[in-house]
Amino acid sequence: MAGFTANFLVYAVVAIFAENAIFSRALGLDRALALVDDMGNMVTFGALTTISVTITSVFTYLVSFPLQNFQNAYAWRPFIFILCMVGVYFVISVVLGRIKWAPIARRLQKIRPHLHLAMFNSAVLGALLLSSSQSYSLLQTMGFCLGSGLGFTVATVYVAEGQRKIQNRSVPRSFKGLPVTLLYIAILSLCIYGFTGYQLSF
Amino acid sequence: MNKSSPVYGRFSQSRDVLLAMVPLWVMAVLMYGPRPLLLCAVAVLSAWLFDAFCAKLRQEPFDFHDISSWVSAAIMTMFMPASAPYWMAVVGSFVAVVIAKNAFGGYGNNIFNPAAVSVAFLSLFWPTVLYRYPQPFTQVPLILGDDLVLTTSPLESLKVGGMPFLEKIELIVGNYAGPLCGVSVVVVLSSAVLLLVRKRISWQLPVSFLCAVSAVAYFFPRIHTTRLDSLFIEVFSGSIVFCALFLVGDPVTAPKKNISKLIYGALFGVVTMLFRYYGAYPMGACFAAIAVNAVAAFIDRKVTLAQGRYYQTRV
Amino acid sequence: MKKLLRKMRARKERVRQYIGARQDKLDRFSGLFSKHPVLMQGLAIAPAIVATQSLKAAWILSVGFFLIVLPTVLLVSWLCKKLDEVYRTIVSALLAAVLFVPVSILLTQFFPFISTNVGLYLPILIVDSLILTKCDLYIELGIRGGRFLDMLCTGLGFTLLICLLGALRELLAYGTLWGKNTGFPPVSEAVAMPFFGFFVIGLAAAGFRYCNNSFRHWINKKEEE
Repeated sequence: MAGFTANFLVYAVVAIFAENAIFSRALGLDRALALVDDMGNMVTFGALTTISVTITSVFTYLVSFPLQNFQNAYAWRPFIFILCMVGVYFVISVVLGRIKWAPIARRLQKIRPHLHLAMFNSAVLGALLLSSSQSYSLLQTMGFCLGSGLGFTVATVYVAEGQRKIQNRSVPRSFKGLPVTLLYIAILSLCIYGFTGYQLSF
Repeated sequence: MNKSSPVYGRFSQSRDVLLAMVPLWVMAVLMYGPRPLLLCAVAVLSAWLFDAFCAKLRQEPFDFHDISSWVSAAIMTMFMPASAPYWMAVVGSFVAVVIAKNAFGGYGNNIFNPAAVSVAFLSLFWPTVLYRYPQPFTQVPLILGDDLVLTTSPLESLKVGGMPFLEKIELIVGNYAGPLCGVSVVVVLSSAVLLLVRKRISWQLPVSFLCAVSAVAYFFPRIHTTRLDSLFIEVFSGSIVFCALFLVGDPVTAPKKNISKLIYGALFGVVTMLFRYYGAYPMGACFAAIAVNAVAAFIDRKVTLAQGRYYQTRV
Repeated sequence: MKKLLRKMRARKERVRQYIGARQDKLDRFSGLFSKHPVLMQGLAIAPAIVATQSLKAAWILSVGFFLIVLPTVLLVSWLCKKLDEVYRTIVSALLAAVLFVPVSILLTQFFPFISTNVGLYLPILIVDSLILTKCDLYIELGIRGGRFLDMLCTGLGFTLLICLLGALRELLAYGTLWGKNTGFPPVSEAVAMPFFGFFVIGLAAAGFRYCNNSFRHWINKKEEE
């Protein structure tokens, strides 16, 4: 039991820090840049992404088996994974719609419009494809995908914190907006690579 | 310089920091010859020119009394070996001044310490050049040849779990192959006295940083030796004491409140040791600076909030 | 010499007036300039940052863009006008994933090591926010005629940027171009790492905006005066 938990946690922690979705692989960056002005929205979006990718990883792990020895696995895997994501999206949507308890239902009303963007996101598809191509076990896949989602959330919070600071400063006109945010992420990415020191597989 | 000038504040701050570094440069010249000074001059001149160029791009007048870029260049050069090539100093100055400082709005607006960003950048690009050092008390020629013997620092031995073959006294006087800032601790502490007397850094920052580093080295040693020896070796090998003053103590990137400074310094120390223990490179402080600079304002905000709630409950 | 300078200034002024009078026609090609997908809008940014390690990878991504993203955007904005945003997202992802299958098989014939060259950054184009952003733009603004030209320019803008980046990074990191040794001394393998991609795209975006703003300012100069 301890071994299983350790296995799960190790892959989760590695995915949060050393193989961070945004800082190491730029996955989900376009969505993060679109939401960068609102910290609350970013945390919600990150939480939704984490839930989506973790639940979908179970199904993608199961469907990866027939694909392993298939010649054109690289071509078919994304299509089959998108089908899994569609299925899981509808299930999560129905479950969230059935929750009637007032405090949570009110929050869910605000969250539901973002669920489709959180599900159909390069951070989700990227994590699923990575865990499948590395041939992880089920626990490792779930741990990696959970860590990927949490790492995405942590990274978006860091970026939002940076935006808060950047907005109060006299950034040159040509650097305002996207360029300075990218440079901010670049410097944080430098830090992550100072930890790992190697080029990650993709 | 005229005290009423708008750049007087940063001029006096930079002047005092540079004066504090003079003993370190004297030691570096004694240990390696005039090359470190020339390396610093190249870095400082290129940083100044890049600063002037950025001011021109922003269509603002550049005051040549603005020597804040000299500080970043000097600190960056201190992390290099005496045998570092001159082009590396120019590249480092570009990253520090243009990317880490001017892209974010210039002096006072930079989120990350420019020297830390440039050293981190150079570490990733040219680790074999940055982490190979000449032996102390060897005259490093101004134009490098192939005959210069370069070795790794004690931090590299610690990284692989070994003990550096050095006496304690050698670590204290800086008699080991290491970066230019790895000089005698007594010399570095003299810089500390000047900075604290002139009130250019807050004592909370270096003290909390050194306490955190010592605590991690004492309670979680990475080498098979006594805890005290581990503490001694970790604190005195490398650039920890220099970082405590010049990286951690940077007033632009550090938080503003006293309690925040204590938390920030301690966090800086813990993250530095994490990078030293588990990171890919022997020197962890520059990478830790990036990670911790990003949360300085967050720490300030939370401390202000907590203090506000505390005073409300008391009332 | 003075005559030559006067002639050049007069020619420059004629060019400025010519372009200024045809600004709306120039806006049709905005995908290459003021609405560049990566440098101005921050779309399709992940492949541009990470996967432009070589010219080959950049070329594969460009072909993927034209054969997967372009048809998806055009078809979804034409057929799914009345659909809710949620269902439009799902349909676009499914359609792009379906198009990905033959395109990927075709590309594998020419580039057998495609998964090493581009890895997951070709499949990532399926769920890229560029598809939804462009579809929403075309549907909300009711654009019909200029869609194909706009997407073509967007694709060209994306291709030019990533091919240039790919060539530069491959040359600086490995000293090769398209896998062939050029004799150029490599600077450092760190150029191929993602953090360098962030730096380069950030600086390129700033430079591009500066050029764009200067150009607009130059075109509209006399009108303001």
